Amino acid sequence: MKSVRDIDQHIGQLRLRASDSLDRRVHADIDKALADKQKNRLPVIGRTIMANPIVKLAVAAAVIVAGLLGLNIINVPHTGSVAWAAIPDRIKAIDTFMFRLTIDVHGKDGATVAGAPTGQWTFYLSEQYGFRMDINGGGTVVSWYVAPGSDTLVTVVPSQKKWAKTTLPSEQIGKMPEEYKDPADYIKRFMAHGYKELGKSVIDGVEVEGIEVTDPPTDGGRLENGVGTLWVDARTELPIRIEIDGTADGQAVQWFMEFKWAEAVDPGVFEPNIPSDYTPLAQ
Amino acid sequence: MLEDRVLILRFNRGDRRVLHRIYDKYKDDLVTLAAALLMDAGSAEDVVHDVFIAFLNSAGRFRLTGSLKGYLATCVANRARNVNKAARRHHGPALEDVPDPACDAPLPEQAAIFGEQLARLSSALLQLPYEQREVLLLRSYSGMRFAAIAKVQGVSINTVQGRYRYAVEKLRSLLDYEAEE
Repeated sequence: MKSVRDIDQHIGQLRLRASDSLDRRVHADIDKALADKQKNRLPVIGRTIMANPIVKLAVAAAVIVAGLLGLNIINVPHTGSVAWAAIPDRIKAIDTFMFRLTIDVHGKDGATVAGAPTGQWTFYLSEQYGFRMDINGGGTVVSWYVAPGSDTLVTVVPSQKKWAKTTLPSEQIGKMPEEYKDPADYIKRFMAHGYKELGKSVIDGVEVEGIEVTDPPTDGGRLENGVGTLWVDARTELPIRIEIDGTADGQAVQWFMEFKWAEAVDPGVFEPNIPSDYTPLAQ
Repeated sequence: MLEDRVLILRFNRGDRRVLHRIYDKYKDDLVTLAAALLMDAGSAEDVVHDVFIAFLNSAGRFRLTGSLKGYLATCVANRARNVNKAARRHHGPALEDVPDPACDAPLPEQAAIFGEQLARLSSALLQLPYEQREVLLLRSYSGMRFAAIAKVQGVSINTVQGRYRYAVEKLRSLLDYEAEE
């Protein structure tokens, strides 16, 4: 009688190799898509904060900010106490900030959806202190660090007690794909088509003012029935939270963005501080 | 695993060149999985091609929450299932719908795609209902857990475990029968 292991071993013997024809088809299609993408690129829009190569690199690595932004910037009427249209410029003047995005996707019954683009990304960006990105997904956190002026990427995986240092490819240093921008640009796009003022509220003990927009910008595909809410600190007039709800392919999609600005970000977070019992990660 | 995360990060960041590496890394596993599901090498390659094109178009939207291999295997399984359904619509019942053939019956032509040596095994696999074969192969090739396979198939974990059990039992009896011949 064959055991389950025998069956598995038998099945493991079934091996096929992809044909040369398939190799050619797939590689050619990838190359074509790359060429098309290159052709369709939009002009680069300069930003003061992007002048620093390390920040460019950092923002280039901001996975989820991809495709968030457009160039349509219109003036919006200011009827409340917050100068909404001035927020992007206010953000640009800040050197250090934290931006955290959590994406959640659920089916109609609230069940999780296999393969859905969910997870949490946290970015710390500073011309003074460098760049850090934490990727939290599948039960694992991976942190990337790049110090100011450095071409070295430090990777830390706390759950595995591992770390690694990698030299960044020269073509990645100081370059920023046009589709990656930063929160200031995103907020411009968020408000680009008008908004409804929600008045004052309190979030975590902070007095805030909010606006609501329809069809908020999201990564990639447009959400159906999308509604976005931006809450800013009424005192500093800086964003502290954006919430987006909508549906895509019949699934409920929620985006939750949190921000911290300037001195609210502890400079210590930019230091890898690798514990002595961590071992090098195999390259 | 970490290499996959870096590949996905680079891909999402706009560096689609990494797709060449992802394809080269997993192409044989995925073609094998698709072929074992469909018992048709040509359709299997079409499925893998389509999966990579869809993957390419998902740039900026893809978020790796488990293993990259598991994700790609899931995509292959989903597309292979559609191909199987379409084939059944156009050509009538699939082989697994036919009452069990005798084990010494001539091997179906499809069963030879993995070579004559393994044709008996292929033939035995072909006699499993599609859903059972899918569970067995996703488990064996991709190391996917029953819970993940349950999501792929849209059924409960108990159903998936049952399908796995039946698949193993049936394969075991078929292969033992052949071994005794």
